[in-house]
Amino acid sequence: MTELIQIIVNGMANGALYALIALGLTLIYGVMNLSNFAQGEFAMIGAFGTYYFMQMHMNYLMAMILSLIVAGLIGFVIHILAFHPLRKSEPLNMMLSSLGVSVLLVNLSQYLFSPNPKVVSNSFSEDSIQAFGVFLSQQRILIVIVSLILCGFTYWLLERSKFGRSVRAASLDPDTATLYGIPTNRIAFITFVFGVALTGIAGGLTAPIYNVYPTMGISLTLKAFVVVVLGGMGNIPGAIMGGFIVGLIESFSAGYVSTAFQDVIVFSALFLVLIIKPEGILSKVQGEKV
Amino acid sequence: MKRFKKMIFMMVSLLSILTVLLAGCSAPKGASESDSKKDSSGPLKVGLVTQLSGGGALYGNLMKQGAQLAVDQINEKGGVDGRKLKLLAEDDQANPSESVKVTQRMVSDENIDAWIGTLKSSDTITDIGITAKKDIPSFVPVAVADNVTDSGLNNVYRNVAKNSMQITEMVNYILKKQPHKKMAIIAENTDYGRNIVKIFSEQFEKGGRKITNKELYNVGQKDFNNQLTKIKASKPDSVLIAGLVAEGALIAKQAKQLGINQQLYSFGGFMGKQPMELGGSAVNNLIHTDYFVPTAKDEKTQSFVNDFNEKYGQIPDSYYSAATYDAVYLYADAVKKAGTSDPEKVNKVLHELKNEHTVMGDITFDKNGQAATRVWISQIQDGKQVGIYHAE
Amino acid sequence: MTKTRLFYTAITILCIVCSIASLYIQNLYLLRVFILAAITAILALSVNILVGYTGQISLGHAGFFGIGAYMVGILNVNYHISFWLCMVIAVLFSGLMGLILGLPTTKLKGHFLGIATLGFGVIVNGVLNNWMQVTGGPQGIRDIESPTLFTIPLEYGNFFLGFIVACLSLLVLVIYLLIKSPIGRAWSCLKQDEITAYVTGIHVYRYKLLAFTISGSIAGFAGSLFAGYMTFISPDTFDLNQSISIITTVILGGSGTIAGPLLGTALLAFLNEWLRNFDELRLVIYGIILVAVIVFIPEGIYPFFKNKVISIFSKRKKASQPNTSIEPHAGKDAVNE
Repeated sequence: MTELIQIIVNGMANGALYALIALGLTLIYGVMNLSNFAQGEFAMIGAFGTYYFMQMHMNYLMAMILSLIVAGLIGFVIHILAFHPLRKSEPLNMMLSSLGVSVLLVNLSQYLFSPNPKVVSNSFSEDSIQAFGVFLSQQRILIVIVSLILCGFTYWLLERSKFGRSVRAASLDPDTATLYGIPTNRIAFITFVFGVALTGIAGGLTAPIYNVYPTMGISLTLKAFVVVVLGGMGNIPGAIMGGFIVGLIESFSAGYVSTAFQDVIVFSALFLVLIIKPEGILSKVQGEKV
Repeated sequence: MKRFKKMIFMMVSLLSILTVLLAGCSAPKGASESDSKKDSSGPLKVGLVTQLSGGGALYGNLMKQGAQLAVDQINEKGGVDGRKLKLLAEDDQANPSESVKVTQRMVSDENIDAWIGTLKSSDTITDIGITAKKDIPSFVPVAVADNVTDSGLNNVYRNVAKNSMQITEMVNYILKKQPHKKMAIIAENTDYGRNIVKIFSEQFEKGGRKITNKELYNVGQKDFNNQLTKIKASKPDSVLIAGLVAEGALIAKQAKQLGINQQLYSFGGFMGKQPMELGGSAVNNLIHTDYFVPTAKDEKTQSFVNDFNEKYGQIPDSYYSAATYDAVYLYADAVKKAGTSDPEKVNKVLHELKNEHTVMGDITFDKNGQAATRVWISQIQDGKQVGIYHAE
Repeated sequence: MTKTRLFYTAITILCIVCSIASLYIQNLYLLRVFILAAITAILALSVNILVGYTGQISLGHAGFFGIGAYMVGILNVNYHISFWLCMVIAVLFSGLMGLILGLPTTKLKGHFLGIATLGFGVIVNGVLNNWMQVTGGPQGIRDIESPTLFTIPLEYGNFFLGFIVACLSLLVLVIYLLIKSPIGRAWSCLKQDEITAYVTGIHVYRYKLLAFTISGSIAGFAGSLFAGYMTFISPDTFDLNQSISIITTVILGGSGTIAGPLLGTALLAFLNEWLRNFDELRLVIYGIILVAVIVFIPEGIYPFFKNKVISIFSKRKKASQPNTSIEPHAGKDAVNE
């Protein structure tokens, strides 16, 4: 029984993290129609930022905030150089450009910071709390809380604010949105920066439990894609739910089937969802635009 | 349209003629392996093939640093018989076809005199197949899978204990000195990890003890809670981590956070300072095998440690640097003894070595080129590596 | 007709010259680079059928590549079936896998299809890595028999290169014929607009499945060649990176053309080897070049230069003869007004 609860807790804790990274990805996809394969690399930037700011004797919170600004700035520059010029071209080209950005960022950070993993530790990351034999580390609790807050905030921003309305308009039909006076290019910029900054926070949050090294983002990107597709691309509540679903599938398949086949099972589940409901779990059925 | 079809027919027939042509003509029988002339006055070229980008670059860089140090030292002392050494280090991205390509380039374009590599045993086996065609002395300082030295090649030397040696030492130690009866294994999903799982559980169960779990994780994975939860549920009294330090330290940390306080065991990956840096207090009391102890009172070890520290500003505390450093010296000394860089003679000298004193211990290569270096059992005690056991 | 005939004769001669020239390459390193590049070229052609001609995305082609290679490896090593028979089985089987993958995924579009195929690649890699009893797991399969073609031992690089260039030429021919056939026309139609294609009476689903099957079997063919050449296969070769690098090759070279993927392969192979001079900065530069090419030449290198050349020639023509044709757009606008 304890094992079952522990498995559920593990799955939920990981799911919150996946949801946070997927959130940025799905936002960017919605507005720019870009499958950003460099998304995880911004988590890496956030983590490295956190590490280096903490080396300068800043506290964890301060370092996280600064590193999220850094991630946003780098995202801004990359958007100008690699994505903005391609906004009118095929989505496939943008995707390829993001792959190039990913290769560039990973290897540049390896060149600058060396491949050695770096440790970030704050005052509470080492300990965990315990109830009825179920353990959860304090850092993970922090991740869950921050992730839920940010998901809620983003949801509010999109659904209730004026900015959110223009984002939704731009993602629904950019041309019409432009006709109505919505600056779609600027919206794309802001969304991209916001999306990568969210991921940057995720990086800073995971740094104490996962350590910091150049290739840390790659597996996160893959997970985020699964989450986003499961939830329906461009769908915020879908991404949040997808995050938890993937986390739970992972922990249950590891617990009751096989740890070696964990990835295979996750992706098979993805396949299943795509076959049954190609537009994602939470999406409303949409007719094709002719 | 008719013409078009005719033309297509023509092309097809031409191409089929070509294939027959290929069969018929006694074209040059492949590029020959031996016609390249070796420059016997230029520098001795030592090729190092290892992973210098991506996840494993962490270990590959250590190899490169060790080799570079040895090459610089030898050159400072005037080289080998007046010939300087030159290190060519290339990245193989831990990809079999890249590794083969890079090795081939070194062999046929750069005319290397000695080869050192790689991080992965499976790539190493393919690569030494290429160097063997030219009989180039090939050193394997890091890859530990048993079958590297099982291929019966005459030019392969491994100056580090092979996997089964360290596993046997570990099992013997536990059987003799430790009370643990039920062990869980968490292993990386590579040939290294899989081999450990196989050999260790065989020997351990032969000793009358029990393996409760065999869980696997992928290299580069960061979250091990799922594996560890499963392990915890079967209540072992000790956990064996069959992996390298980048993941291993995280496993130790996350195990503690899940409330697994059982004794941890591991292998060569946990040598040196890195486990403490990455794992903090979680790796305390962990027991592991050790090939290289930087604090050993041996004179050679001390000078290596000091020189390395001077050059790179850190203590070389894992075997990656030390063993690669040794490999360069073993080659240089063999050339000196042979008086020539002719591979046949160098190979002969290397096979005749008796208790050659190196950083990693006294080296004698058996007929397969495998050396029995010392394997210690060490424990991490309050942030320090302490040797606790050494089988005689 | 004479002009096109000349063109085809030139290409045929080029292929033959390449095949024969490959017998005289003395540098073993170059030989290896060429052979691996030729295998990549076959892979690129197979992806191009999906990406370039049918408008589908595949981010999991390493899966087919791996299935082809492992079919040869398993059958040859464990069951001692001759290499050529293995190859036929491998091609058929990976074609079948293409069909099976196509059954659910042809209903998907764009990014969903991309992620689904990516998932296929990950699943295949996971199975290869973990199904120890059959695939040997991370250790891979060793000692695959290197093939012998009519008493020519292909274990010699030169012969293998000659053989593989001949294969590549044949494949180019086959794909060319396919594209010019009704099948190719149907593909290009459904690439432009699926609904229009459907309305026109093209069985969209069936043609997509066909594209997946053919593409899968060609990739499987590349895999079996790889297994025969390397005589050793392990799951690392067939991972996500491989899938990504194939599609990069195709798009960089110019998808939807035959010369594009070939040019892309050649350029990337050269770039990869040349960048070795930069040691640690190698992959950084590679990333920059990748982004730069995509940003500045999004249509691909081959179409870009082709258009350049054509525009130079057509300018001359325009200068020599007065333009009498009516601009099509002008008429359209007039009607609309």
